[in-house]
Amino acid sequence: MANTGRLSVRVYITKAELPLPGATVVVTQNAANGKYNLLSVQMTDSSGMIRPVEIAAPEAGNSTMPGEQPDPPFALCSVWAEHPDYVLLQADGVQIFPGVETMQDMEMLPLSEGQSSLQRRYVQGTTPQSL
Amino acid sequence: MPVVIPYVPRTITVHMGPPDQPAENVTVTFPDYVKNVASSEIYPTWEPAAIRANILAIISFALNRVYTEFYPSRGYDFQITATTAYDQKFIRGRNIFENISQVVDEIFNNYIRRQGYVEPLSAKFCNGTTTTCDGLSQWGSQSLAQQGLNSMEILRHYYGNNIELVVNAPVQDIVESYPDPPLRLGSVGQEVVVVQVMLNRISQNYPAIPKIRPAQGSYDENTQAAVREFQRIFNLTPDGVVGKATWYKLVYLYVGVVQLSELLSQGQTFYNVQFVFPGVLQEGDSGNGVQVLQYMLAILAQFDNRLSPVQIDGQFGPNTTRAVLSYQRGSNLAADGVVGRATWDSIYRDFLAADQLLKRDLERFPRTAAQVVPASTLEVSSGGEDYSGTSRFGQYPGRPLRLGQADQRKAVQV
Repeated sequence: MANTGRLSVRVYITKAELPLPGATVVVTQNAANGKYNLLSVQMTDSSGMIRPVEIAAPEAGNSTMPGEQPDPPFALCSVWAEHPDYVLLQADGVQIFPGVETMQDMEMLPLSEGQSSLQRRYVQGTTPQSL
Repeated sequence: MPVVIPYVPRTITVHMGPPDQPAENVTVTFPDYVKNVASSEIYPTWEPAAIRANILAIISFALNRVYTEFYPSRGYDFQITATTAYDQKFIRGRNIFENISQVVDEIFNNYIRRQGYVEPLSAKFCNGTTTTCDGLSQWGSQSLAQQGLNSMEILRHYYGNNIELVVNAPVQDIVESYPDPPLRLGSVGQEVVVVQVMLNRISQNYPAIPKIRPAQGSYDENTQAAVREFQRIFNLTPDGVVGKATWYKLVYLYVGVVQLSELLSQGQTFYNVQFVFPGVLQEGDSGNGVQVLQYMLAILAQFDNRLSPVQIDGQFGPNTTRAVLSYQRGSNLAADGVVGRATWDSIYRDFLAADQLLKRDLERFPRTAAQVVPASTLEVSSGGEDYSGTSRFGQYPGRPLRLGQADQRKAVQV
């Protein structure tokens, strides 16, 4: 069984899912001491997508059987999407399972006139499954 | 007594907390809701039969809430909550697992019910380790799947033998239901025209999807290439065949794109002067000021699924109040459902930003020779993406510039 999962990201706006090309997407992982490991920095293409990122994940066995596990059966990472006209969006707690592709859609909110994406940031977190 | 056939709602409104606790209401498409809940409740590494069984339980539970109008009948303005204590786990904006996404796209309008009954089964479930219940055990379903049971056998094990599977329930507001059998290279007919028209419209926003010319109802290599690219972008199996999953993804997206276009067209009938604050507006009012307010809220709701959808009819009714409240809560304004100057100015400021972004970005698609006269001759000669006239003009292009480098994109010129 593979020991990596894939992360794909698509950045868009509105319910019509208009793609946002030229946005900067950053994938990070928390390391020890409160630091970040940088996994990928890319610009989105004309479809608002980046090249998928391979990320190491724990063995599949951990998630297919119940019982107390010392470590969660998935790896975590954070995805940031930045573009000058939109609120900086940070998605925490993105789960990576081995052999599985994770899709993180980034739906961006416009900035009002005079605001910059450095001033306004929206952080959304994901909690693990209650299994 | 007339029997109401259960339908799949096009969108579902989820309350982000217990029913009586004030919280945001998030409106998402029904397939996206199911994908979100399934990704929040189970692990994607489970056996396919277990995943499928859990998804059917999730769908049926949600459809039961919708069909019985469980919350609206009690005076609430949402259809389901995001809490496991009352309903099922939903996390706004979370990541989705591709294998779960693909299963949901295939079965989002299937559900289980008791034989002899019309309503979808209120299929309760629990994890089976820290909690047990009179319904599906999530870990139990994984164990049964590992022993070789299929999804219906697993569901019968927990819900009894007298349940049956309903497939292809009608989807609300979706006039074009999936025309079995799948459309593929060599197919001809009206459904192929529908596919080609929808793809062409979507490809106006997604230039990576090739245009299909002419769109005459013959599924040729061009059409197949366009379908494949569409599938690649939207996480469907890229086989170039329009089966149920691809069909509904196309339709949902097409409806979304057309709704936005129609909204923008409607906006062109307003004169600038109509956006001046018309005086305090509240429930019971009607007229031009209300219509402009509703239009601005409708545009903002396109961007933010926490804003309640609103009709632009010039009548300030309970729906409009709800929309104003959802905006005020998200903007740190006094949540009283009344539009005074502070609320109006805030809405107008946000609307202006959203409107300008839509008009500017939409003007760049499609790029055809018959398009609007270019802003400058530079745009014509570059022949491709041009950032002048947009706020990205001064943005670092993402790679260092070196002596002797030339590019099409004006970065060197800056």
